[in-house]
Amino acid sequence: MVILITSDNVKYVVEKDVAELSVLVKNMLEDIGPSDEPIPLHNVTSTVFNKVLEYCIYHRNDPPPSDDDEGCASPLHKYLASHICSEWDQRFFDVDQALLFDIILAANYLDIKTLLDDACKAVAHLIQGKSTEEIRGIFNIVNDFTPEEEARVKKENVSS
Amino acid sequence: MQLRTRYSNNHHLSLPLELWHECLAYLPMTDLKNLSLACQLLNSITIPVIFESINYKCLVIYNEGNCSTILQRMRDDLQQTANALKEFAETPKYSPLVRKLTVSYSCQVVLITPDKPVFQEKKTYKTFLDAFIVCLERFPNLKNVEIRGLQWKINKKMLDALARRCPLDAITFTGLSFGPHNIQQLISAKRICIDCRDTFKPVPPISRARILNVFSGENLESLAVWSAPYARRLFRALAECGRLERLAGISVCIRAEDLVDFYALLPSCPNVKRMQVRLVGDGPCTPPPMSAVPLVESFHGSEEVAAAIVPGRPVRNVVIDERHSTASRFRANPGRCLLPLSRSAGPVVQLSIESAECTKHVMECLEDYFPSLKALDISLEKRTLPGEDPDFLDFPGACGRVDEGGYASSCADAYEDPIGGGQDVKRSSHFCYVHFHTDYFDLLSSVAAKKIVIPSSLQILSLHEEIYVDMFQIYCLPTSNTDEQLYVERFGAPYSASRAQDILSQISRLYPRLERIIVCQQGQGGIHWTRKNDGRWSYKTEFSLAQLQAEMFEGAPQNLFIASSEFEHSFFADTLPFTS
Repeated sequence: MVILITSDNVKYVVEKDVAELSVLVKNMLEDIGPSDEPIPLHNVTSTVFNKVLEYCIYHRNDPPPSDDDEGCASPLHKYLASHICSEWDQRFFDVDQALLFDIILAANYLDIKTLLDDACKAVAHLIQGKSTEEIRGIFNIVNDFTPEEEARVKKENVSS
Repeated sequence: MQLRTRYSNNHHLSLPLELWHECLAYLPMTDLKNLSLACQLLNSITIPVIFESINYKCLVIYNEGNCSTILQRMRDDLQQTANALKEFAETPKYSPLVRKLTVSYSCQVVLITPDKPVFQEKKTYKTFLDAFIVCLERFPNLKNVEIRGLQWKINKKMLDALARRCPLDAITFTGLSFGPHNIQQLISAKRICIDCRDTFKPVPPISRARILNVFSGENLESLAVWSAPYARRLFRALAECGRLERLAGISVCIRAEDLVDFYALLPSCPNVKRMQVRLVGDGPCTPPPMSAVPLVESFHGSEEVAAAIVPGRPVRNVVIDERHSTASRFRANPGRCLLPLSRSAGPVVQLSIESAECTKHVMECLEDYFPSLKALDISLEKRTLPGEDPDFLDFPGACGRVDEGGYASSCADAYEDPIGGGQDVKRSSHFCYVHFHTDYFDLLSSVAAKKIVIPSSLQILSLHEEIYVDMFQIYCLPTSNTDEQLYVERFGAPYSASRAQDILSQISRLYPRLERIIVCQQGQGGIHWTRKNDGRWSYKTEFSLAQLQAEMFEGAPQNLFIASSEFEHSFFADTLPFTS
């Protein structure tokens, strides 16, 4: 068992194999050796860490991503190189944009590559096929173009 | 870069730039364009991605019957696009963003009076050529150039401009024709590709020149010549260039009678590791001298050439394509086709054969000949075991619970999602189960029941089908119980999720090294089973339903990962204004 403490001082007791999906935690564990010392996660709040933990527990038994660096042209390997997303993952990432971005930042900080890739794919999924107006709505974007620029945006929308 | 300080609004979007780029990598150009118009922050993030690759098209059809005002307007439009491109190229803020430039030119003149001279064409071409040359000169970070569809012989000015801009990382010529050029300086790039495979366009006229002497072998790392006439001419020229020490990959489409020119080049390419050879026409395929290309690791191409190249060389990956030309040979005598490949000094660990079917006999040959095989990609044959009903196969030595039922009694059973998310998925998303669970699980049942032996060293088994698109196109998604019944009649009853797990765990007991089973159509889409560390098999499918439907009803699958700015006037005007 590994003890992790988030930035808002919430303590988590996590099984070692789950915690070690984070390369950051894995390296820290190797550095400090066997110890009961809690590991502080400075850049992650408990709200975000709950989600990260949910992902890690679900994916704990996944085989590590295979290295496709052989440069082989086989359709099989091209296929493996392309990423695929399960229904569980789709539901997992069905969260508001702020939390999704926080998950990306946490995955990057904790160095969990599969979570980072999947979360980035989820962001792309939010944008796919949406108009500029729809994108503004989804991400709560303030339109900060000047009126002249705005006019050109409108002209663009008419012409397209 | 810290974006927060530069833009006062929309702080909540401030991800580090590299993380934004991770997200944008999944988006096609239309989405990037919409995103770039949302706000200044997103504009600053997307613009470098949008202009990384630029596509300049100059396509026009002149009709002699057009009145002069129409002609003038067309010419003006083309001139305006060219001017906009030149202006862009001369803007210091944007020109460094461009890394790839794709240009295409096509000008057709429909003549009514055949004798009348065609003068418009030269003017249009000059406009295009000028803009292209300005781009070559003004994009300081340009690494990759593609020229396509000139319809006409490539121009000496163009080749000279390219040569001046060298060395580049990659140059690609698609669907165009070379003349007997005599250029001052040879074109040098790490990767050179000449591609004349597009069968929808007329074959470009081939000059009578014996050799094609426009490329330097100096920096060449990868050479692809998808044109039998140019392959011969280019090989003759390169054979006089001295040793091509850096050349690691050769891809070529060549006539059997031209192999002698190819083999004459090989001794000067001692470091080639990847070879892709497609043979055109019939003819004896003699092997090259044993001393040539001693380091080949990967071979891709025709079966006859594989038999000439693979034996005695350290080839580890083999892909045999061209299903249609080799299918009958593989069917008649798979052993004779596979034996030469087994003589690799590699040995072969990855093998993909489009035309070989996963019959009992083929699998036995594979098990005999390839004791180190780790990944196998092979065609999924229908009715692998004619006359044997997979429903009644026993699993010898199976421990664990006794199976009841086997097949799902109805489609509803198959709707149970093996990864445990079945409750909110709708009828149509299970269409895949109805089809897939039948054919490939028939085969997997036979493997589990030891009726078919697969190579014991195998880690990845991939089964591809070529015909499922046709089958999908005949029908639409099932919308009612009657529809489903029709599918079951056509494709067979689906397997239930629990039965699938049983079959897979039995396979795991027999083949502990097997980690993945993939069912796909020519490497695209499909179903992906992975053995998890706890022994369970998990199931993923690549297509979202929307994508599947788009493919089924609208034809070609969307390719999400090719992003390239269409450099046509309207786009240019729309996307740029906000970045000043």
